[in-house]
Amino acid sequence: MNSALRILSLSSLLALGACGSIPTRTFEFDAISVDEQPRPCLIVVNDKWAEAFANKQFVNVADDDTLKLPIAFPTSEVTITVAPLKMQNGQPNEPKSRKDARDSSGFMDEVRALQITDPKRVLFILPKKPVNG
Amino acid sequence: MASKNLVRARFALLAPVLCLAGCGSSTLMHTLAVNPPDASVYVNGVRVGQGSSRPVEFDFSDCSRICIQATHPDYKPEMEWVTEKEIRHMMSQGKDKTIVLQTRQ
Repeated sequence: MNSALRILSLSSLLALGACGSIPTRTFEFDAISVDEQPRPCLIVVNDKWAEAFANKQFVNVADDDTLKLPIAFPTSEVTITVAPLKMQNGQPNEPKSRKDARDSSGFMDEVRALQITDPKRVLFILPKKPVNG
Repeated sequence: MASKNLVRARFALLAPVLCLAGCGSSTLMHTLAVNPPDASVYVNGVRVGQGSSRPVEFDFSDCSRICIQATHPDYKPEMEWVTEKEIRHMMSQGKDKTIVLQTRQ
C-alpha cells in the first residue's frame, strides 16, 4: 500500500480512537549509555520538569526498567526530554533544567519530537558529557 | 444533486475501507549496515544485533516511521528515522541502509 495512505489511515484510526478528545498514545521509554548500560533518567513531556519529577516519570531508578507513559497530542508533535539523573543514597536528585541534569549526572540529555504515529518503544542512548561541555 | 449524493455515498463506503486497510501489516526486509562494524544496532528501541550488516525487518504496521539507532563505546551514538517510502526507494536502487558513527571529540 502507498505509504501516504498508510500514514493517513493510521492517523485516522488513532484519531477515531480518541473519540473526539485529545488523541493519546502510550509509549514505553528507556535510556541506556553508549556502552549499553541502563541509565537512570527523568522523562519530561513538553518541558514540565516539576510535574515529571512529582509523577516519578523515571526509568532505571529502582531497577533496570522502562516507563510506560500515555502521551496526549494536542498538536502534531510533543517534545520529550530525557534528563539523566544523579543518584544519591538510592534516590534521584531533582534536576531543574537540561544543564542542571547534564552537570550533575555527567551524561548528556536528549530532546526528541515525538509524533503520535511513532513506534511505541522509545529508546534514548546517552553519551557521557564532554569534559569541557 | 443526485451526483453529489453519489459522491457522498462513495466516500462513506470508502472511508472505513481505508481505515481498515491501515490495519494491514507492511513489513519490508532490507539490509542494515553500520560503521564501525562492531557497533550495536537498535530498531524501534529493540536491539537487533552487533556486526557490520544484517537483514532487518522494517515493520510499518503500527508506525509511520522507524527509528534506527547505533551505538559504540568509542563513538557518538547515532539516530535516524526512515519511512516506508525511503526503504522502498533504497530497495529499488539496490542500496543498503547504512549508519555511520562519528568518533567522539
